[in-house]
Amino acid sequence: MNRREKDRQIESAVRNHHSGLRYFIRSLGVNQAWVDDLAQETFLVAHRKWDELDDPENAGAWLRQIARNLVMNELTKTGRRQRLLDEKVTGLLVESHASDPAPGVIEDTEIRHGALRECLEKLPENVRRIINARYFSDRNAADIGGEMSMNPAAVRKALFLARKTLANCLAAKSIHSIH
Amino acid sequence: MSDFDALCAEYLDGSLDEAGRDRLVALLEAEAGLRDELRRQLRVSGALARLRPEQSDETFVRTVLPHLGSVAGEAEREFPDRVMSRIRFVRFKRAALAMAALVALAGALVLLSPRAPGAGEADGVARLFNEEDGVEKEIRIGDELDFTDGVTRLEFDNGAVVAVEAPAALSIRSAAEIVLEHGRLNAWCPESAHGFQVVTHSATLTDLGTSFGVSADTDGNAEFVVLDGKVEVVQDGEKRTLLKGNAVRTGRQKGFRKLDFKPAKFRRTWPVVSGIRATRGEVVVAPPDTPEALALMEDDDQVLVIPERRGFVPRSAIPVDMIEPGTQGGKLSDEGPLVELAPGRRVRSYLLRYNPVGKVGKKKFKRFKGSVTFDRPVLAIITSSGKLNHSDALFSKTPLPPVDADSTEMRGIERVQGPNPPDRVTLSKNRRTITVTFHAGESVDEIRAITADDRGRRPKVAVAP
Repeated sequence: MNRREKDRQIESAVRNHHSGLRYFIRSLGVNQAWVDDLAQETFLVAHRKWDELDDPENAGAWLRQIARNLVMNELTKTGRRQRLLDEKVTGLLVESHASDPAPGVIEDTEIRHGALRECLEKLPENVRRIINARYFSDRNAADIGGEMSMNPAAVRKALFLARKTLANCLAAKSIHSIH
Repeated sequence: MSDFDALCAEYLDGSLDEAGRDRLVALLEAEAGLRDELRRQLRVSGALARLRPEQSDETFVRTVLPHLGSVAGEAEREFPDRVMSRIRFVRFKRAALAMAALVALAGALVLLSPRAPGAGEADGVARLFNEEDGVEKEIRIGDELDFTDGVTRLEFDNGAVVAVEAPAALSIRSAAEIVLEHGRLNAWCPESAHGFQVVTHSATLTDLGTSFGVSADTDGNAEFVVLDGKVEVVQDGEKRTLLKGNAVRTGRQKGFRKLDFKPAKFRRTWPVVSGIRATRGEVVVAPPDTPEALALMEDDDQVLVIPERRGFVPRSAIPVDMIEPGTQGGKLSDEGPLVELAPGRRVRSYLLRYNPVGKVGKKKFKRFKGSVTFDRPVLAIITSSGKLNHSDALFSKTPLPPVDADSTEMRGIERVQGPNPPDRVTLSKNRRTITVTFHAGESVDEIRAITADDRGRRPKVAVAP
């Protein structure tokens, strides 16, 4: 394979797989602030080892394996554990990933931002305010509770249920779009 | 909510304690369905975060593809090794180090050790200096730098100079673009580095020929302060042009907010980016400010070191008073043999200035002693009033405040000043340090130091013969 063809294949892999790869890395319990860094490292390693890939059609699974190895590396590096939400939970998620049954629809598809926004609009206003504070202003439950006169546990519960609702909404949209 | 739900919510909030973590792990080990639910929560949480512009798909692709392209030509095994490495600067101040600290130091030395000869030297885009730690290192595209102590200087091949104050983290995205994850920096960009960019989590600064400061935190808040020239700051497609003396704050989802111009927070990086390594005694670096404000600064108690023009190549010889190490005192070189700084070499200059608030009464002399050390060799010093007056137009960025006729004649060091010994100026043998003793009375006392201004890839510049 000449250089031009290799570069073309790699660029195609980045464009086609980066989104799912980043969701995969996040699903291993990587701190959101480090997800894109690890995804970038994954593509750099893939770039280096591109000739070891048997078929570009298999790039998605191959990239996930590289990312999984990089996350496992994080578990052994004390200085880098801040990249993980919790090393024990991540260790469990990494180890069990291969043996767990195939995940549901949402895991197999991209999360379209348009669909997510539509699902968000269906949430009550006060829940959207909590999500906004958590994901756009980087507040934790204690901060949000202080600002909105809520118990932190109630904030966490609202966020958990909102994510669950959004996951179901996205899955339904995905099924509808498939059919 | 079930116990799992509550624990999962705490985990994603970052507030899960150790006991809760162990309970969560036990639940996850027992049931694959819960692991599935946790992954689902993580994915949706990631999707929500990615609605932010800086984590969008477009931003990721736009960042990664050029980076991959830039490493395409590197030698075998080089780029993954490089990308994986993170440089850490660790200062060990105490003599009695524990063995653990020694091990850590050894680790740091490994990370900072020179690369193998020929290993992609051509890809270096900057050189890093931390004089306190004696660290000097080639910096390449893709390097991620964590700064844990002190102030570190980066000198880019395009001429840009960046001083970073720890704690800070930044990465090198290209030869003219850095990403400030968090921390504080000062930068100076010559014409050859116009377009140099500093990217933060909320906005991107593009240099348009200037000296500026940026501070950023991991929450996405950033402040931009322009000391000289102008910059352009873009946030979410909205563009602002800032001139010297302006400052703005940006934040995620918050837009621009004009700030009062308060550059004092850059007081540690400003000397370093200005080429001043250290000062002692009553000689101190002027606080960061615009050239106009610096020119007007008055201080009864200290001699201020004021950075002037840099990147300047004299076209003709400049009359000066000292071009060799040694001491001058009690003699005005206006009357001595002709001493000149040869033209053709890139130089920068500094004014060492005692400028009392108002006027000290006659006969009320004050004695000032101190020194300043530069990061480049001093090529010449001007100590006499006439030559100072002559060189103002060449080196001062802005007109100095008017003084009366007597003061104009007494700017330089004095030969005779009543009962006091003469002023003295000493240039050290290594040409880096100037030590002054001024006996200042009613007038301004000044000298002008002219140093080399060679680009920083190889800092050990030859001293002029």
